[in-house]
Amino acid sequence: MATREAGKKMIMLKSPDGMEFEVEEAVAMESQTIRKMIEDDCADTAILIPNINSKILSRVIEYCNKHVPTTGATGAAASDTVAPAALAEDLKIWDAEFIKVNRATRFDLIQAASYLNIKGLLDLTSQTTIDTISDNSLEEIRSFLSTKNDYLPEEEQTIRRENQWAFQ
Amino acid sequence: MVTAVEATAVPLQASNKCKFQIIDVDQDPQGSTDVDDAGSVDHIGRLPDAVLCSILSLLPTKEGARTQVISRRWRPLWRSAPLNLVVDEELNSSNNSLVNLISKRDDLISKILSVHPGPARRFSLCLSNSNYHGKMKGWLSSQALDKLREFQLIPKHWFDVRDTFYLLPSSVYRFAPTLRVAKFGGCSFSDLIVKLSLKFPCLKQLTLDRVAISEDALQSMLSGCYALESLELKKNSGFRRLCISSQTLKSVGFCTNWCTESVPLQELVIEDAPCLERLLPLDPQNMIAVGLTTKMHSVRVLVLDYLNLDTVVNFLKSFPCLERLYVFFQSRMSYINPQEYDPPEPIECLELHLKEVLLKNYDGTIPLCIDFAKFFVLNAKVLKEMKITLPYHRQYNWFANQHRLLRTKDRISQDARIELKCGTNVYFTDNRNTHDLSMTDPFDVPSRGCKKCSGSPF
Repeated sequence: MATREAGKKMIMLKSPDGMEFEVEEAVAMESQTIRKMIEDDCADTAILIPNINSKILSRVIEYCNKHVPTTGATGAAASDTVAPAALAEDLKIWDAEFIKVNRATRFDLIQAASYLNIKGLLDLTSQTTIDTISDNSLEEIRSFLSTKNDYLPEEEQTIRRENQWAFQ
Repeated sequence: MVTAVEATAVPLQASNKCKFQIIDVDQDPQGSTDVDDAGSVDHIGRLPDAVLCSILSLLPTKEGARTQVISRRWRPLWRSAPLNLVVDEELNSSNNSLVNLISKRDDLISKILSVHPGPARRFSLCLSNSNYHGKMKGWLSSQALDKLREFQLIPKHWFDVRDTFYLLPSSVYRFAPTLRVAKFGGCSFSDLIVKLSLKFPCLKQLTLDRVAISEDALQSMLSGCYALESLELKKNSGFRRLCISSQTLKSVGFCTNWCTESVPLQELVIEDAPCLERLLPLDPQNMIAVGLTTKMHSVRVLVLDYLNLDTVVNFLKSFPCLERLYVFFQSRMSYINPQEYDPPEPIECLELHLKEVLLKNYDGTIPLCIDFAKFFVLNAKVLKEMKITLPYHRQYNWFANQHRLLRTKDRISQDARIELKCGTNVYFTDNRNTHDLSMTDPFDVPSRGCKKCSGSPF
């Protein structure tokens, strides 16, 4: 149970569809983009996050909340602290559950992670995409990515020939 | 998914304007995802090239190159994404005869390196013969490998190596400024590292497996690693003593040399490592002297070979914050009568921190083993769990008897759970988890279990 201490600074994040999310500064700073804004003093009241709707933003915040390093827990004083390793293992399980979303949401998350520069989330979402792409035929990949093949047949043949090694 | 909602609802405080819920994200039933994909929205097309490139650079080599055929948008991406070149069976597979295969493979590596403009994310070589050694220098100098972040060189068959170590070409050292992960196997390092006083400012993981390196070169290399988090030293030769001093190191795994003629590692001194959490002798059968010049408050996981109780207790004094201890018993232990141990002074980790003791290859017929286990039952005040694995099969009655022996009346940690199970002798020479800091139990290899127990291995 994370109870908020009085001293903690809060940051307001706004999505373009008008939703506002109040989060701890430390949580928001999981995003390198927001961190930079805060450090450059551009974040007095509320930060508008363009391109990321409230649905995705709320999930991103959920991720950051989970991954923000817990302060004080590493101190030697508390005897009942969880070993960092155990924590990391829990996070892995949590991540696996977190990423069980549909494709559209996943690509939205990749885009958000990329824009907000959240390395952990970007790695997680990218890896899941790679796991899906790997070992699939080009047709399956195209359909997974909802991408149309816009090559002329001859063009495609040329590229295949040039990169023959990759198709063997 | 319910847990996810709860997890968010608690720490996240929504402002008044927004009644915070996980808005319809979780209403997509997991089984039938992708309903929304019925339309032909090109989701991935919305992503910036930089993101697509970072995804691409994680794909296996061939699959990465194949993405050029997906669509026009994708065509230039493979060349602009960092190269991921992993030379393994998969890359090598084709219908050619074996004789052609080797030269084909070398040509293929050269070809890929010539068509990709660089930079590179990973270059990994696991090859079975030494014919490629002549070409190595050229490969490593290739522009495609500029700014390489991960390098791995290991022989596919260790018998290829024997005593003839392959001298790493000096062109490999040009990657020093950018390397993040490096694994070297079956090769030797020149003292150029010392002369150039090379720095590896980004290197986080380093593995040296059966390499030859002089003490000076290794010390110089390690002192140039400002960001190193985990270090694995396996059966290397050329140095007798290693002194570790690192502000960032979290995990060290090491084991001694396989080959008796060469210079083995005899002394490992941990001088200053405030972040060290794990000290793992990978081959506890050959546990070497670990010199500790100071108490190590950061270490939480320690692995020891059973020598005698006194030695173990002495080690414990140096690790005041130890939470988990592994002890490996040797398969052939003498039946000497145990000494009574009466701690003259309280040992900090036993008083405050040690929660888990894991005893491997525990022979319940030897009084020494029983007394060793009892020592922790009697003295570890916050012990929560003791997991004991036997090297053989036993019946229920035997376990009941052992439990009786260990559940002494005057034990300190009343709620400690004691788990006994049968199995086979365990060796951990092939530990792979030194670098995976997220693993709670670095020795949590799927146990072979006990063959005689039917059903579940436990």
